[in-house]
Amino acid sequence: MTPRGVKKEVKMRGKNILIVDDEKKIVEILANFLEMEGFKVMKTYDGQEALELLLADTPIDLMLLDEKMPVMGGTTLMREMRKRGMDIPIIVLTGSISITQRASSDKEGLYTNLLVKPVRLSELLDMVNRVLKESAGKGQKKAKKKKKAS
Amino acid sequence: MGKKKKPVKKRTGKAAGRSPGKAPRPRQKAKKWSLKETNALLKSLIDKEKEILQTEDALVEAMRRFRDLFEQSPIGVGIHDTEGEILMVNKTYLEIFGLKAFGDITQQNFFRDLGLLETNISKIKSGRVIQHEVEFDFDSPGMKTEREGAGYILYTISPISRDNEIIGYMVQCQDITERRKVEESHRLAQLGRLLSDMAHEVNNPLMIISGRAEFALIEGVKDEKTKDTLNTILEQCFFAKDIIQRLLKYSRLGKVEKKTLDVRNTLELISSILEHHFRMSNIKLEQEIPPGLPNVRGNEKQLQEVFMNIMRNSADAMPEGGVITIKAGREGDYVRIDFSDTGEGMTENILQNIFEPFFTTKQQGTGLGLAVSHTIIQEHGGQLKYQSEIGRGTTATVLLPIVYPTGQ
Repeated sequence: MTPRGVKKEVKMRGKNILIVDDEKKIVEILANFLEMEGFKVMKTYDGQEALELLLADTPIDLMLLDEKMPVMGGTTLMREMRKRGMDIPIIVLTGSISITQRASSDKEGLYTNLLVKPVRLSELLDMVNRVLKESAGKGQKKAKKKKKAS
Repeated sequence: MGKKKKPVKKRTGKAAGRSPGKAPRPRQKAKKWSLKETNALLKSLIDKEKEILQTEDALVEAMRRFRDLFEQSPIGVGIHDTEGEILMVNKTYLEIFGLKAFGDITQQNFFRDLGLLETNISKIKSGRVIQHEVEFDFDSPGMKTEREGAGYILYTISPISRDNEIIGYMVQCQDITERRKVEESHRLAQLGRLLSDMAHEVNNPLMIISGRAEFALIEGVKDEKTKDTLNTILEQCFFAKDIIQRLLKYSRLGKVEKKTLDVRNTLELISSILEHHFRMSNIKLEQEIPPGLPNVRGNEKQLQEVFMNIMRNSADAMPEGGVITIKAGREGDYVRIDFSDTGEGMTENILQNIFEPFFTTKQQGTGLGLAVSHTIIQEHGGQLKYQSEIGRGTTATVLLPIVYPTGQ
C-alpha cells in the first residue's frame, strides 16, 4: 500500500485517533484503515467509556464519534467535553439522516465536521487530514499568541 | 228476584273489594247505595285518581329527566328503527352536523348512508356494537349545513333490545375532527422519526459492507473480476444510501441549493422529456405559457421532479388518452402554473389523501411522488393544490413566489 497524499501523511502520521462507535464491526474497519494510513488508533464502544479515557488525560488528537450509542450518545459526550473545556477536534459519523438536518440548525456548533454513513474511506481520510491540519494551525496560532503574551 | 240478585251481589262485591280497607258486606241486600257507601266509594275513586296523577307526574318527571339527559349529552344521539331509518336525534347530533332541523339530516339511514361494509352491517344486525368513522366534506353541495371544510365523525352503533329482540338502534356521534388533525400531524412526525431510525439501522450495515469492500480494494486486489465485484458492491451501497436519502426528502431533510430561474424553461424541458411517452399514450399536450414570466427562486432539479410527478399522474388518470393543458401566469406575488387533465378525476376521499406519504391508488406506485412534490413546493415557499371532479378531470395548481430583481 502506497500512502496517498505523501506530504499530508508525513505531517499527520502518528497522530492519535479515538474511535467511538457501538458497532464493533464499524470500529474494526475504521481502525484497520486508519492504522494502515499510519495513525495510532484507540477504540471505545460507548460515550461513557470515551469520556473516562479523556478524563484520564489520554493524549488524543482527533475523535471519530458515532451519534447514537446506548449508554452515552455522541451529542451528550460532546456536551460533557465542552463543560470540561476539552478542545479536541471531532468528526461525527452518523447513520441517521436527521442529524444532517440538526447540523443545519446547529446552534452549539457541535456538528461542524459531519459524515453520514455509509461513507467512503477515502472521503473519511480527506476529512481526518483536513481537520487535523486545521487543528494544528489553531495550535500554532495559540502557541504564537502565548509567546507574544509572555 | 233471585236471578236478578246475583249480578248485583257480584257488582257490590267487586266495588267493595276495590275500596281499600272496606270489607264486603254480604249481608246487605244492595238495593240502594247508602250515602256512607257512596262517599266511601267516591273517596276511594278520588284516592285512586290522585295515585294515578302522582304516577303520571312521576312518569312525566322521569321523561323530562331522560329528555334533558338525551338533549344535553355531549354526544350526538340518534334513534333509528330496525331498518336503520332515523326516528329522532338530540340537539348535539344536530350541532355536530351544523344542522338547524331534523329534516336537514342527510344520513337518514345508517345502513345505506354511512358507507358501512357488509361485514359491519351483518355484525350490527346480529346485535354487536360497531364503531365507524366517516369523513365528511361539509362544503359539498348536497349538505344543508352551517359547517365548513372537512370533518371526522365517529359513529358508535348499538342495538336497542327488548326480550332478546332488536327493536331499533342507537347511533352515537362524536366530532373527532380536531383529534384527527392532531393525530395526523403526530403521525407525520412519527413517520419522519421512523424513517430517520430506519436510515440509521440500514446505513450502519451499509457502512460495514462498503467499508469492507473499499478496504479490500485499498489493500490491493490483483484479480480483475474480484475488483469488479468489489466496485459493484461499493456502487450499490451508495445507491442504497441515495434511495434512503430520497425517501427522506418529504420530511424536509437535506438542504438544497436554490437559484433564480424561469419556470418556462423547466416546463419546456419536462414537456420535451415526456412528449414521446404522451404521444404513445394518445395524450395531447397543450401549453399556454406566456414569455416573460417573472423569475422564481428554486432548485431546478426539485422543480423538474415536481412537474414530472404532476404530469405523470395526469397521464395515468387518462388510460384512454386525453388532453393535458399547462397554463402559466402571474398571480399577485406568485407564478401560477395549472396542469389540467381530462382524466377520470378523483373522489373527495382520495383527494384528501394524495399528499400522504405512501398513499397510492396505483398498482405499482410508491405513494411518494405527490408527498415529495408537496414538500418540495412548501420548501420553496409555494403551494401545491389539487381540484378534481369525477368524470371531468383534475387540475393541479403550483404557486411559486416571485423573486424581484435586487434594487426593486
